[in-house]
Amino acid sequence: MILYMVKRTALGIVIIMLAVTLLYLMIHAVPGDPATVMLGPRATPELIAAMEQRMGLDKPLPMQIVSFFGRVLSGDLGVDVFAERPVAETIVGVLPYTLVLVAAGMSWALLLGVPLGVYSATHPDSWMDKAAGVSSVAFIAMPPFVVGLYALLLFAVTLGWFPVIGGGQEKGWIGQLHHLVLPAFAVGLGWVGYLARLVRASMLEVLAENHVRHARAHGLPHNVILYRYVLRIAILPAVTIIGIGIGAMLSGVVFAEIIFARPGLGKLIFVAVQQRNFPLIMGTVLVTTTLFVIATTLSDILNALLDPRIRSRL
Amino acid sequence: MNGTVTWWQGVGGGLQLLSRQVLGISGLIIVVTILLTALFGDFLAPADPLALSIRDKFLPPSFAHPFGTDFLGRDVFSRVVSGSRIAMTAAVVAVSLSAGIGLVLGMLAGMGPRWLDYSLLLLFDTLRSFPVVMFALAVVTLVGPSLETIIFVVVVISIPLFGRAVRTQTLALKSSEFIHAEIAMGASLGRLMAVHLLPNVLGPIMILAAMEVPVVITTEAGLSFLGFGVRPPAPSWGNILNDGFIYVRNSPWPLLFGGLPIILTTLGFTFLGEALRDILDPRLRKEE
Repeated sequence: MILYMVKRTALGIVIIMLAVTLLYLMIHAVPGDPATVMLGPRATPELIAAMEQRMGLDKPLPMQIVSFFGRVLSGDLGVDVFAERPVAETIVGVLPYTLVLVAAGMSWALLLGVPLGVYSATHPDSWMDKAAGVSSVAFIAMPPFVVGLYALLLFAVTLGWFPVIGGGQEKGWIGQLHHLVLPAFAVGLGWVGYLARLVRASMLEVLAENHVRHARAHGLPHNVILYRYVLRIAILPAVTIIGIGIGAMLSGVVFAEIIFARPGLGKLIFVAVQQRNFPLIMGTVLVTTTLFVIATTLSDILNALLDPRIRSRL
Repeated sequence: MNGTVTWWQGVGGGLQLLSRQVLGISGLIIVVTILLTALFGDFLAPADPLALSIRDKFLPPSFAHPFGTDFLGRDVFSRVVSGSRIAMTAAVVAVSLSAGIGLVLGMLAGMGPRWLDYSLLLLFDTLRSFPVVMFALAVVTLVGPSLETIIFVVVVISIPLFGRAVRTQTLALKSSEFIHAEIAMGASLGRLMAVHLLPNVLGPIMILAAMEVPVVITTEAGLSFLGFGVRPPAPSWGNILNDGFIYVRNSPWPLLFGGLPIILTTLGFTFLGEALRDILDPRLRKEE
């Protein structure tokens, strides 16, 4: 198991390094270097040279990548040339808002999606099962930003139940929760559908297996079989998908933060792109990609802990 | 002809199976409607999607303007109809490109030497580790916002999906007897891939393609909504939503009707993809 964890973690690190290298190469493969793009068409050659030196763009490419990794490892993501402050500082400042939003979105999706899937699997072909099936697909089909816009229209603008703007920083934790409801609803709704379908399908599969029949023959109570023997195995695919779900939510979060004017990584990169603020963009993409890889790695390891068969696969 | 099925029997059987599925049929109807709208939108739209009429701004839905008008008095219905062409163009181009590239890379990974397989898998994993929107925003900053940029981003992000599926399928086929027989008879790698593997991986590819269309449409609309996609005043669905969002307090209609086609299209393709999956490959249902 330890071997698996080490190998899986190493793979995660390799993936992050490759991703960063790819991103770095891409920035340099396109015509027009970042310094020129940032300064605009009226920049003088001297200005561009000065900016390149400041961003370390005057050195050979492999050197740049190596020194970039070196700096990243020491927690230095470069300097935001517009705000004149370290990129890492800016990112750390807004990161909690995004993490809270992702956690809230995933939590309510799990709290609703998993029981819905369990109910559907234990009552197959009931009207509730059918309704859950159709609405699951509908939830999955609605992109988070459309959900966010509709929620804004209905609950904030028309009904006025929830605040439209901001993260509620100044209102204490109840105010912050109040501000969190609609964005979390928007990023989580699709995952209610995903999880419900996933849990239903895998529970039906496990219910048909021999060990369940065996447990029944031994006269174990229905609920014991259901929760101790079936759900424990049937929940595995859902555990794996949470890692991917967090990555997908990092995309949805961008929209939720912009629609509801919340601070966070999404809002940060949105503004950075408008300013063509390359160090900030690189930093944000790096941090979100790392978060994503950590999430998938953790869920793989968790999965291997729960299901010994997986360990031999890597 | 014993045991073989002619193509029309195949199609007939397929339609019969599909008709058992209400959702599959409704998906097909939605998809066909949207494709037709995209093709013949110019004839369907009652007004010019770009024509301004400031005096008629923020009108609620009426007979003349079924979806109302936006902040410049443009007919939202005509804009939605016209936007279907942008969405479908992006979807068709992006999905065929990523399916094509993923197909070749996936077969190479499955048939090729071990180091190639591992390198390609690592490449797939790396490309999938970027959160889509973040990656897209980084690319947009570099090359500027346009439909082509969005298509590029979606292709890069989607290749691993097709590549992995094709690789799995290829690995399974590789050890089958008819492939061994072909190798024994001296078939080249190219022939093996084009003549023997391709027909067998097309089924999963079609399912994935149908499922991938919503991703393309959502990405295009999402980026356009942020202002980093198709440039306004082009009537992309995302642009309609952005206009509606900015002026939501003046009129809710553009926002409401701008979101509908996105939801309908994603629903249609998802239903169709799932019906295709049930018909073409019941085994895939388990792998979900």
